[in-house]
Amino acid sequence: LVPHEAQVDEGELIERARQGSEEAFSSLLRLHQGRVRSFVACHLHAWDVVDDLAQDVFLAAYRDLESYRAEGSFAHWLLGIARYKVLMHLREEERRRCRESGTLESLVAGLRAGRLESETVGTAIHERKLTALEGCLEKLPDPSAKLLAAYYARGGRSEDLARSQGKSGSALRMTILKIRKALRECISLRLGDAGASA
Amino acid sequence: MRRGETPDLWSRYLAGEPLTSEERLRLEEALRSDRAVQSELLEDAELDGLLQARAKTGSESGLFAQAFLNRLKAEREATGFIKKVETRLGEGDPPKKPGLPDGPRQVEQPATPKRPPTRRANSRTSTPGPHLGPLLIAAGVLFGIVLFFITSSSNSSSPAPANGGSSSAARQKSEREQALSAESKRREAEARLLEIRRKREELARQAAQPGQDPEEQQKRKTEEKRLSGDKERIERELAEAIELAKKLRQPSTEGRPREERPDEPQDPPKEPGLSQETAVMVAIVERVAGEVFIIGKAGKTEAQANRAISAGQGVETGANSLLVLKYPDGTRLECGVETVIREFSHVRGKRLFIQKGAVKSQVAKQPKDQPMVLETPHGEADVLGTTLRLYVDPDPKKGTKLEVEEGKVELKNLAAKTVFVESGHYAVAAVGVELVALPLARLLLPAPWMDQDIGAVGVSGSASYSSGTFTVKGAGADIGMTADSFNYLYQQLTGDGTLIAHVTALGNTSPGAQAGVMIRETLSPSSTFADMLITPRGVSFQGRKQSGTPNFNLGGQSVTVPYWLKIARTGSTFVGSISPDGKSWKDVGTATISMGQTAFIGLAVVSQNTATTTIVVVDLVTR
Repeated sequence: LVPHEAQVDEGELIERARQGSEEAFSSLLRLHQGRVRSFVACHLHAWDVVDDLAQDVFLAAYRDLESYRAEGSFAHWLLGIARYKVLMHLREEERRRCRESGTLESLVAGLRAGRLESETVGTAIHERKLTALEGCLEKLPDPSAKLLAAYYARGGRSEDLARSQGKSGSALRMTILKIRKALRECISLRLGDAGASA
Repeated sequence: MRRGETPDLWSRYLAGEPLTSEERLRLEEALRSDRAVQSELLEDAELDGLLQARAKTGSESGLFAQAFLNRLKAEREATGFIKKVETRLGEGDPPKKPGLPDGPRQVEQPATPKRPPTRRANSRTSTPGPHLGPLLIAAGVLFGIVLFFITSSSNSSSPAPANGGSSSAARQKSEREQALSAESKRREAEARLLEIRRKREELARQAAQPGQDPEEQQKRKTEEKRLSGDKERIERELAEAIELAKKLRQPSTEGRPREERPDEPQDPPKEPGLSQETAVMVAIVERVAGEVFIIGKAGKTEAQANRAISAGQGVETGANSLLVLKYPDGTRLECGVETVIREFSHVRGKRLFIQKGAVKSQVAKQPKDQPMVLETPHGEADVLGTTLRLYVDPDPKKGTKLEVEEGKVELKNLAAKTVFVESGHYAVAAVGVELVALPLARLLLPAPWMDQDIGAVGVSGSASYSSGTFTVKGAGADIGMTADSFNYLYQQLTGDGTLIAHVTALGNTSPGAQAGVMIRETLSPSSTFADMLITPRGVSFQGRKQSGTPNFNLGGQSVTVPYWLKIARTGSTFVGSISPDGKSWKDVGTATISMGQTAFIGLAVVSQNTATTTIVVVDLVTR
């Protein structure tokens, strides 16, 4: 999700992008698209909205590059924009769904916005969570890892995968839910360990 | 809820599979009633999102980058065309300025509202682009049909008739599933329409930036083709969804006509844009002056005192208008001219979206965890209890200016930066403007004085007050001909009245720079008026007898500041006078002008140079 950045002079790219180089901004986009998209996806539900919103983030960054101050991390600056855009979207979703009688969706959007507004799922922890997730995925038993990969490769659609596994759709979803639970516990442990050692 | 049911419902919900109404309610209940469950499910949703992103971003990162570059390119290509259209619109419809009770206006109002590309803001605008009007109407029609169907479906899901049997239950289930499908299609179409609108708004925003590519003709064709293609495609999808909704309606009513259900109550009359679910009163109209409307989904209705504003509704004030709203807890909002507020809500605290204009807010103490949130296209202000003013310009470069009179307000911009603005300070949330709190260089205007630019001034003017002296800055081309452009420090005048100004300084931005006392019927540029002006060359009494007609001008003697000016109204008679000492007065001119009982009286300042303001210092006396 997060590319290696050591070989890239990000400061130089930013400077060139400020001077109008689309190529430089493209490089910045490639460097950071993973973390921005994952951050947005982490807090939204619909994937088609995720990419649109992630593009909005980069568009806002492109237009407002002058306001970026070098003393802060560029990634953190981008995630700050992403956080705000996601919050705006969730609050709008909360209101829109409420009007449309989609009270469950409205409730979920409101709760997710509330979590995002709190520090517990802020931008700072996002990078650590991504790293922890990668580590936890490596620790998954092979069948679980393969099943999870197959499930998400299909965009979360379970019917054909369930058939190929000889399971019902419901059983497959519950299995995936359990794998995610195991991953959450692992991530929590790793974040706790990192916090303790920091 | 049955044991173990929540994870199953949640996994189905997360996978986008349909839930029955009862299942949705049970899942809602689980989320609301058990914080541990709530936390666990939300964490699960976040991990689900991360895993989706992990799968997608690995395989589609190149596509994402390319899509972004294509979007950037398409928007740049269209910029020239949009700019041209907006320029023409601007020529035909000179921009008007929002004003604010008890405070100065700081931001300029361009002819075509533009907003930054926040998705949240997307669905608030009620003025779609020229290509989108029919699409949004079609979406509205479809939405109505789908809602009607869902209502029918919901009715049919009440206890089945005794002779219905299991086939009826199966049919109802099928209908519900198809309803979800129709609703899903409708949502997709709506989302796409919003996306098109958002893109157009972004294009409009880009168009406002200098240095655009001049190849407009080709770009116009490209843009028109793209919009046309989008329009046709979405219309086809809407038509399909409408057909589906029609089919779904038939079995619901078949053999059971609506009129044969005597127990079913008549639909109550609805406020515009109000569904039964959202009919929650948020505030009431305390005072109205001029053209003020309440906006709902179904359109506008004229605002009247004591009328309720409900969740989901908005308000709009016209030129020469004022609106005061009051919340049950005593919080008051005063909306100046040309102000648009959308989406009043009260879900977790007061919340509203100011699309443009000027709003003064006296916010009663709010619960700590539920601040009143005033959103604008450029950010939001979170308020726990204070008095503040917000000036909102659709131009993202001018943005939102927050002035705090009492208390402390948190202002957030689109880059998610926040700043606390304390009493006597201001901050601006705008593109390219650093978000910092700065002390107000002057004291706020004493009531009932207000200030705003009239007409296309070029550079925004302002007014400040200190120790009995007003300092007014104004740009603008001129006062005269068929329309005016200047800065106006004013208050309402009912019936007869007199204003005396001791002009002690007048910036010499041009030989025609003017300052003077003025009475005008409205705040529109072409209004009737009478004024007594002083320029570096002398004084003049002038006016406009009919709206939109050329002015008259009665030249006076050559005097220079400091000097005293007076304008007086008695019925339809207006008299302009001057004095070297404020005691001995000489009439410069008299005119008969038909003007309504309610008008405005104040100080007019024009630099005769739209690139800069001139500064005028005056002492004002009203009688």
